[in-house]
Amino acid sequence: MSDSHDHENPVQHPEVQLASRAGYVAGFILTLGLMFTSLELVTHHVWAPFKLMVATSAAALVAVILQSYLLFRLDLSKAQRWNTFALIIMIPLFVLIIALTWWMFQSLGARTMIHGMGM
Amino acid sequence: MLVHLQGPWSPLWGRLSLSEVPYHNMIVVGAFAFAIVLGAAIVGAVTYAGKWGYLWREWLTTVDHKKIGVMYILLGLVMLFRGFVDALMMRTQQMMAAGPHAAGFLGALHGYLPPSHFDQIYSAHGTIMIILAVTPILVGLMNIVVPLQVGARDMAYPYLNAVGLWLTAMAAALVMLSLFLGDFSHAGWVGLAPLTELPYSPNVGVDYWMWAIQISSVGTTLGSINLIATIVKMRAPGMTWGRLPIFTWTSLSTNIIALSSFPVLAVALFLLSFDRYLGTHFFTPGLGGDLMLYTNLFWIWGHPEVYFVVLPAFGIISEIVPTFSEKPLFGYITMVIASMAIAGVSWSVWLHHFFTMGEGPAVSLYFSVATMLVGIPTGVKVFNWAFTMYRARIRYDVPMLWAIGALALLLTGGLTGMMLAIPAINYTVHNSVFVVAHFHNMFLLIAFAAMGGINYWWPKVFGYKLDEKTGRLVFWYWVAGTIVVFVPMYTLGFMGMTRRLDYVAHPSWLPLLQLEEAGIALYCLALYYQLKQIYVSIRDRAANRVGADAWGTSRSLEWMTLSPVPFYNFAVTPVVHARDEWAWRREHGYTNLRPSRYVDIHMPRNTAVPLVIGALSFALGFGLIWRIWWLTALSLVGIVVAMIIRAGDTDTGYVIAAADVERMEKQADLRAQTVPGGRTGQPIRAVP
Repeated sequence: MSDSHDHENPVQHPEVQLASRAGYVAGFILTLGLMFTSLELVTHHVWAPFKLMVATSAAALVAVILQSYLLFRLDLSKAQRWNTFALIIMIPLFVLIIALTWWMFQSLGARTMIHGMGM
Repeated sequence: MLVHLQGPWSPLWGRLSLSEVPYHNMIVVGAFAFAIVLGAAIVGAVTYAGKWGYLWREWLTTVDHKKIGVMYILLGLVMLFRGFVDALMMRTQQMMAAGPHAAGFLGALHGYLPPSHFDQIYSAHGTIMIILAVTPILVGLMNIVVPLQVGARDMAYPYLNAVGLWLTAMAAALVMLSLFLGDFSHAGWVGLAPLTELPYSPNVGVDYWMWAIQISSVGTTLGSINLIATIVKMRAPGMTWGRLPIFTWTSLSTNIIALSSFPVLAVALFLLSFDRYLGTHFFTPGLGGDLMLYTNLFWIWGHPEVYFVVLPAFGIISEIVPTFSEKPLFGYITMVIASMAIAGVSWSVWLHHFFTMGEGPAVSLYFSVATMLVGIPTGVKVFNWAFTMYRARIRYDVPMLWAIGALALLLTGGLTGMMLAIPAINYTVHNSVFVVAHFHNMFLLIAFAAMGGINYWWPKVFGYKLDEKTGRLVFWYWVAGTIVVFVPMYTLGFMGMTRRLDYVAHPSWLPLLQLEEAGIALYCLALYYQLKQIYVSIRDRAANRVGADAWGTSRSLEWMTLSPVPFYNFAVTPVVHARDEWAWRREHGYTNLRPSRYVDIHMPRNTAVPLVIGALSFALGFGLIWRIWWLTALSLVGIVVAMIIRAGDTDTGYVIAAADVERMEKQADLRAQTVPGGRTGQPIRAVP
């Protein structure tokens, strides 16, 4: 509840102290690479739709983890513990949204689409 | 890579041309003349009074959370007026265009608005009322009250706070500009896909709608980060979670909702912009796209947004009811749990906005049950307010009237909501004005609470009360208008009237439509008395000055500091001893304590960077809407440069010396001697 850092010098903030040039560059390049790989896979229809979806989802998950670690430096250290916790408590929300969307569209597709046209 | 456009385009002006100015539309020309006259009057008045320097130093470049809050509320009230004019125009059109023999004026076949104009008006009405009127008013109240309630000097990020304000203001400016340059979206405030796609909406209307929402929602998201950080990190010593005022608790839950839901809206709108600008097919039926995917994404944000606006309203009611019941709030813990539960359930109900999609009974059942679950925590809140008022010494001051009015609206709005949660009923009344009446019922609850909040905290911000007599008239005309507009609207919904009609085919509905118009006339009277209330209050402010505790029976921390609140909020950081700290101090006779010594206060320094970023965002939005790529690129680079310059600025704060604080507090003490009840405010009225 009290301020633990110096007001005058933002560089003293524990979050700022965690900044790392190598980490930023690596995170940027790796996540961009994953995104381009996904784009290439999709635009060239490399696999069947379901397999493509699994692959791009996996790439997205890896990108999120890489960004959390390399760009935001989220870990279990004292400075970052609560930030990591805040991200983790969003996971159930994320799962809920994706799962419910999947369920409703699957049910919708079964009722409204011509069979064999969807995924 | 860019999609091919219908119509002319030039590198310098994009899609902009003189023919985009709708000078042939008399209504728009009238609105333009009104805006010019009003704008000139304001600019003239400020120049005449020589207040530009004051305006720049004290308001436009401020980072003070109270002033930012006031500007948010002012923006919200101006947009509320604009949205109300839209409503008035729609009601008038429907009344004039009922039946095949209805006369036509100003180029319309029936009534006075052709369909293309009517469609823009209802789209603008919804967008403005929800995103640019109600949201800024509530965000403004949270901005003013939350730091005071937790005993902080300012928000956690004062500069970010100003950025949020100016982004919201510029989004409102874009919507207003669409009146006079180009057109606005005709696809409803929700943006019905695929109507929003380029082939079906080739003009700039959808782009205005899309970028205005995008920019304002960035502002709201930044604001939510700020409020959460303020509540978590800036609480005064002793302000434990169990002592946090309920308005702050609801602000926390509402901003958790905002932080987690607004990014979904951003994604939905970005995908739509990819469709409109790059030619992708996310929301078109062909090439793997799915128009229901847009509806899904929109309401994943949209329903949490409903609770984003209703929870602060519940918080306001929870502050007003105990003050004017002269009792602590009943069931504090359950109130906190209920606020969090509403936020939690808000994530599982969004499909009820499109029950008729065809997703089948199992899915509908899940969302129906989840929607009904919301009734439980809401019911808990209603019972808590009722038990607070039970056997209390209730005073019917203006804020209390608004709070009780809001409770009545919650009852009818909640019951019709329960009806709509049942898929079978939803199939029957879906897309009818019954739904429109229901959500207006709920939004009016929020508006009533917000009006209560403005009347309640006005003396805290400005140091004098709003006029009681005209305030009552405003309230009763609002109530009358609400009943006379929305009871017929519920009825027409049951009779089968669908929403968004520019022409009403059924002449037998005319009497009810005329009744709704009469209700609008009552709202006009409320507006007149509202302006009069503010005028009379400012005129008679010397007679209505108040001390710290304006109502005599207030309970939370914000009533401990002076009214108006000094820019540093508290002379020394308060130490909190109890839930309802101010009431605790009053009961223990600690209301006149003075600090034994003052300490230096560290404050954030004013800056023009947020205003510059806001102006550049306006240019960015304008460039994107009219596809002027050089302007888009330039303003985007400008925003990044402004952020870098600000990041390099280490001189962002200053210190008020302890001696200066002491001097200002002594002056405040002298001023307070002229106020009834002295510095601490009005004594609790004598019990007869």
